[in-house]
Amino acid sequence: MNLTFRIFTILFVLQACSEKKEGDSSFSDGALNRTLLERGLSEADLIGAVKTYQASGVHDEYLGYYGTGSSGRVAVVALPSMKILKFVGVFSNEPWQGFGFDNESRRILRESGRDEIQYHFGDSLVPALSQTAGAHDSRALFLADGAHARIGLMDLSEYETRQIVTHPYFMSSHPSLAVDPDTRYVMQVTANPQFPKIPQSTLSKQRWSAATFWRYEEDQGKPYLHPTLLLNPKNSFTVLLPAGLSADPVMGKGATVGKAYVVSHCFQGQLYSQRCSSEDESVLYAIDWKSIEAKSPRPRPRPDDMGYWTFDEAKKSGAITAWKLPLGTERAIISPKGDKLLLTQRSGKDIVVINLKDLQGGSDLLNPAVKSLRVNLGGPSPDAAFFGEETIYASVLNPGRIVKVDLNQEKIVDQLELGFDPGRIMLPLSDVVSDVPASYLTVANSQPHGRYSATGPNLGWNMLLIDLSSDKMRVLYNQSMSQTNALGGVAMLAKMNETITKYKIGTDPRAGIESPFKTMPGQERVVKEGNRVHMFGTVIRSRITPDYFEVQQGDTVTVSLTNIEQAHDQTHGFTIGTYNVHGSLEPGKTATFTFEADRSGVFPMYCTEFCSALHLEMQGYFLVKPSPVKAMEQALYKKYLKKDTRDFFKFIKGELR
Amino acid sequence: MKRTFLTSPLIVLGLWFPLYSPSARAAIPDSVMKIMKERKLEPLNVLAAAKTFTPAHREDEFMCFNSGGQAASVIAYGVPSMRIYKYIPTAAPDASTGYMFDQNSSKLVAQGDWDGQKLTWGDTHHPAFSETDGKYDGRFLFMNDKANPRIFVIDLKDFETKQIVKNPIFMSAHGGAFVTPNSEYIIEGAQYAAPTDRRYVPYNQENFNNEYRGGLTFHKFDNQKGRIDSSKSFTLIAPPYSQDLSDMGKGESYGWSFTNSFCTERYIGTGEDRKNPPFEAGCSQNDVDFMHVVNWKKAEEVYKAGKFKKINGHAVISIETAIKEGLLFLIPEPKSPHGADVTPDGRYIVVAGKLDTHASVFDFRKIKQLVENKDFKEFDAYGIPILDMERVLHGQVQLGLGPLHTQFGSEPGVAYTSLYLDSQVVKWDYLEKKVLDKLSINYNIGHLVSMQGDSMDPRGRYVVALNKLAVDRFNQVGPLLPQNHQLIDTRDAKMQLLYDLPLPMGEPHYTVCIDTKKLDPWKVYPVGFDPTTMKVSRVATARGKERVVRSASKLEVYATVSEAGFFPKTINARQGDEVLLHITNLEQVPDHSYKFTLQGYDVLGVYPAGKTSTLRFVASQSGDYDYKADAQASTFDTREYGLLKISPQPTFETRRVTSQKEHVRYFDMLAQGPQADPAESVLLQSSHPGHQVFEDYGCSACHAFGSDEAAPDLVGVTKRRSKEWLKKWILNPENYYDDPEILKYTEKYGVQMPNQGLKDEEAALVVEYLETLNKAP
Repeated sequence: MNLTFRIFTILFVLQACSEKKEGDSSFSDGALNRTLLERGLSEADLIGAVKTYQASGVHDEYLGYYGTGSSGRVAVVALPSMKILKFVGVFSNEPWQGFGFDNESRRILRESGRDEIQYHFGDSLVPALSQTAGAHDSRALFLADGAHARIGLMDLSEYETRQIVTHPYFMSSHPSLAVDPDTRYVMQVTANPQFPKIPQSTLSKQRWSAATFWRYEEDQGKPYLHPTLLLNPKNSFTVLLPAGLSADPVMGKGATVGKAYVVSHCFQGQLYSQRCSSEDESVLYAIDWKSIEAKSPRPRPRPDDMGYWTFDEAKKSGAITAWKLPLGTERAIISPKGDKLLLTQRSGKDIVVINLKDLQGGSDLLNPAVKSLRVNLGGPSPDAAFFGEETIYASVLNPGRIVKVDLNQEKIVDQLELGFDPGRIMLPLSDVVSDVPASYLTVANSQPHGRYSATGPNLGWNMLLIDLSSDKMRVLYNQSMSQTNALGGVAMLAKMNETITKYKIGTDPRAGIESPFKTMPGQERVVKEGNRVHMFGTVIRSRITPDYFEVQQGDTVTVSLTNIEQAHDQTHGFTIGTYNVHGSLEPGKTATFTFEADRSGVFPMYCTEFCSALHLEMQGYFLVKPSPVKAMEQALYKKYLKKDTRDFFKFIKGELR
Repeated sequence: MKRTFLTSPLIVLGLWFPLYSPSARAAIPDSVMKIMKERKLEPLNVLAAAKTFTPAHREDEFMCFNSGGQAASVIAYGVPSMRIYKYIPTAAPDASTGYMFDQNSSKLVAQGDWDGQKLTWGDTHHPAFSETDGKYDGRFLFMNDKANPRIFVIDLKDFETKQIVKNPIFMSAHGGAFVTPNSEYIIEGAQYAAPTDRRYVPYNQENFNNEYRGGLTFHKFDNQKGRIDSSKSFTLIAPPYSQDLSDMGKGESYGWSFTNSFCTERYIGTGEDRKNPPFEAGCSQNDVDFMHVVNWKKAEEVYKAGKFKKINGHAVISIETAIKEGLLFLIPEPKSPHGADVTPDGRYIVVAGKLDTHASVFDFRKIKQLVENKDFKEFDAYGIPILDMERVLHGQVQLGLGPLHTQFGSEPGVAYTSLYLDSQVVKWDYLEKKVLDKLSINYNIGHLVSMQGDSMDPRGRYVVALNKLAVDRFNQVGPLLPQNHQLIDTRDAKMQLLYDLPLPMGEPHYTVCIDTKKLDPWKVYPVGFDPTTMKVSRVATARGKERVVRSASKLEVYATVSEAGFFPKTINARQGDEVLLHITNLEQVPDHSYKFTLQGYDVLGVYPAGKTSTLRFVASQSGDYDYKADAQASTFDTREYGLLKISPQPTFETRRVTSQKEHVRYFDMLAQGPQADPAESVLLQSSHPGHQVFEDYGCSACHAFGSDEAAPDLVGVTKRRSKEWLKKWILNPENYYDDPEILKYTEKYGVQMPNQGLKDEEAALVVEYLETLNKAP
């Protein structure tokens, strides 16, 4: 490859030299050719370069949102430049955003734990974008944590995590999510079957799979600054399914609105850790959620939990039909209009397309009478996506490549060899009905070593941008995706996404309400009540007010700060050194930090975000006056927790923090 | 990086082409012209694209290491591709690499805990490479933490943090890490002054002047071991002048260090009555601050001669000793500077004050002469000699508004300085004292970096502007914006903007860039390797030796993961067991890494090929939990699972729920300021639903498990009474008030069981819950 590449380059250069064609006058000094020569770039490279290059200040066409595996963060990637714009903390602490550091966000994370087991990471693949009438509406992004069966909701107007819900019965879930065309529900499925934690029920004595429908609706609970939609467990429900390994959830749309689909396969009894073979039976469960959402499910074991339907009940009421699928079926992918289902295989070489209309009626088997379309891809296919109703792009193994299939011609019309095993692909807008022409797709590559300058054994994944705009697919760009160990995405048109650039002064963005601790200039104060001290402060270029305050050792200190700036991009940070207190204060935001002043001394506080020419002078001092007796008796942790409890939690938590 | 894709023929061609075809007309392929039109690209954009686009399997020319700021990480990206290759975690958990999720890295990070305070973030500011003869040697990277003064040592063999060293006497340290030319020492400068023994000293002007101190710590680096040897480190105490950034002398100034400062007014803010002007005003009263000039070579001798005292076990050279021994001198410098940058040959020091439009170039030869002749202009309040600024200046050059930081190019005299207020990069000549070129950037540049630009081997070639504001440069992603790093081509006389890179997480302050040929990192670890110690782990497990070892309430699992799967496949534990999972990745092929998760249990391990580490958790909740090891090399969903069965232990469960209840109250308390409304209680999620009822109706106000203080102990109550009786008693206790046995209890505890108004099904749940507390394991 090395040699071929070199010869190609030389040929290209020679050709370029001999042609003497008049180019744009700005190139006439030969600067471009000299650069190509020196950097050994081919014409294909130059096309990749100019197709992806964004001049300073030029915005991208699409915004992609990627689940990143265990990092607990969403990667926001702009296409076609492939610039990563933000890693947003959802399931794990992210100090730059202050996520998991201010009281407001700590509460979101803490309430999503299971008692003393608090979660600090996620397991995420394909997130779901909220939709209205089958189109992206830029309200929310839903991200799954498969490792702990949680769903995080990121508000797309501010890129902040607003809510995390935890499944009451299941410990884990599939790392991908789906929504219906009006985002009435967010659908979550189990990946591996589990013993559900349903109290007083014999159901918990065996393994079950499940599909859960989380109701996304307006929340009246708080005086929100703008109407807020959140996931409401009370109006959500779970449908239990026979044990099986389930693939990504599928929500019906268009012709199949009100239905949902789960492909389940390869279950070999209680112990199922042995590898599955291609001969394993796969089943498609079609769930008619519309028909049962109004009916009341099983009584909830706890008043705030969701209700559930047993498989038998759901089946009896006609809400579930099960269909036997071709051997080795791995996943189902729905077409944008919702009338076709594409089935991929793990070890077979075909993809199969069935018409969902044919699944009406009584038959329980995908028998020869059900018309299906079968295309041989030449290898197993980890992922596929529709473009419109008649075109499919799929990643295929042995050898690794992307194929384009025309369903009318029932054949592969184009393919692109990759040189690695491709994983998930992401085709912008393939989850909605759209008339935007095919432009790009991204492919996940879990084999990053050797692609770039080496940076050690532990690497993030790699992602390729592929150009679909012409008849021949073409690799445009390779992006290194630090912070990822899995990649699955969705994307919307960037112009759909309208974000705010500042908050109304005094906003608690994590809850979406005006903070009770909002402080305006002139209202800054330090309030002492017993051994609780509450500082109400403001930050603005270039000062923290108050710039000095003192407490007694053993006091419990709460600091509430409001950024009273309203200028774009004028974020301040805040820390009190060595007390593990840190926050990010975007314009208008109020954030609160509570800690115990258990160590006496002099502690500088300062702004952690370079905000002005006098940023270093944005400083202050926090003093803790020693009081050994008070420290022993009054430290909140010791005062409110018995020694037993403290020891217990120390034991549970160990070195983890 | 021994591999070279671009071998000599191409390079020869590249040189040949411009030489022999100087007037060659460019031939832009039609395909490219078409895209240019479609995408509305200017020819300059195309040139910039060609200068930065780097196909896969091609080396970058330089690797840049950025501080992550509040994200507490080190960000490595390539130049000119501007791809971010890695976020190297230092002080904050990183779930994508498993940092601080296994015992090994958690123990490493615990080195940096502060007097028992666990720290889960840091504020990283200034990275520095290890050096040999004043040149980067590609072995180690050092990084400081401003908020919790610490130095992180990162090994460039695997790009992982290996050591965390706390500063023993500072409470804030901004100006680190900077390295001496042979990595003898890593300097860390204090920022906001504080008492050095961590005492409480009331905050007022008198105390601030007399008891609050700054200083410069010289951390001794053991080049053999590749670790800091704190027992040989020392600190030079300095006045409370907010010491800032440093640079080390090199070449003819070898043995000296230079540190700028700000707020030498020793201003203490608005004061207790809040009536004085704020810091920003009070710290801007004088015309100059002081550059601190230190003879560290001599300070090392003074330290070795034992002329120090120990504070917190650390050797400290006092201001008096420094004056007596001739270690510390001050030179007036323009107000509020940020950086004292030594030229590659070591002769000049460039200082730019943000509030002055000039860069001042100091001549080390002149400084040395005055110092040798003890020719001082005056002395500061502490008796430290001050040199005459005019007599040590080589000159001052007017650059523009808000000059901040300077780095150097490869040509003699060439320097690049960032202009924060003008939002420009200025290229100038510090020898000839003239401006060569200016380039506008977007927006408000902080530091800048030129390739290897703070070493004795500067390449120039590219400059990156570390802009503080991005404003409109990228698609909006909410009120918190990425930083904008702009790559600038410096090869031609006019600087050219090549690329805008958004930093998706973290706020880099300072960057150092090294020729990638100087790096040769590992692709895998030897089998059984513990990256935190760089040795084969004691608990590494070979194939076929997987086992579970139980001792009392501890369960040690020796596990392996490889293409063959994860072993063992089942683990049996008892509720309350402390479980240690020692996992070894037996693979030796790059990319054959695994991600281990125990579902529902917050247990995560990330295993690149060869790595061994230990995951610890307490099996605090009973039930059946699946674990899985995701093979990164596989593109399909995982089907490799194992099963952890945790058998219930009622005594442990009782302890768990009561402790959790207490903890929830504690957290609620913590979440409230004194003026807040009481927060609603957090539900107990993983307990029996009857327990929630028990809590909701306040039963726990009197009743406890395992003790009977205000009411009978409820452990075993369903053995003493029938379930039916208990339910009736809960629903209508008044029916039993005359019962002789109940009367006995009333007498004993002094209270009657009240009717709490439970509903029928709620009472049933409570009874069921009480029953679970009796069940034998």
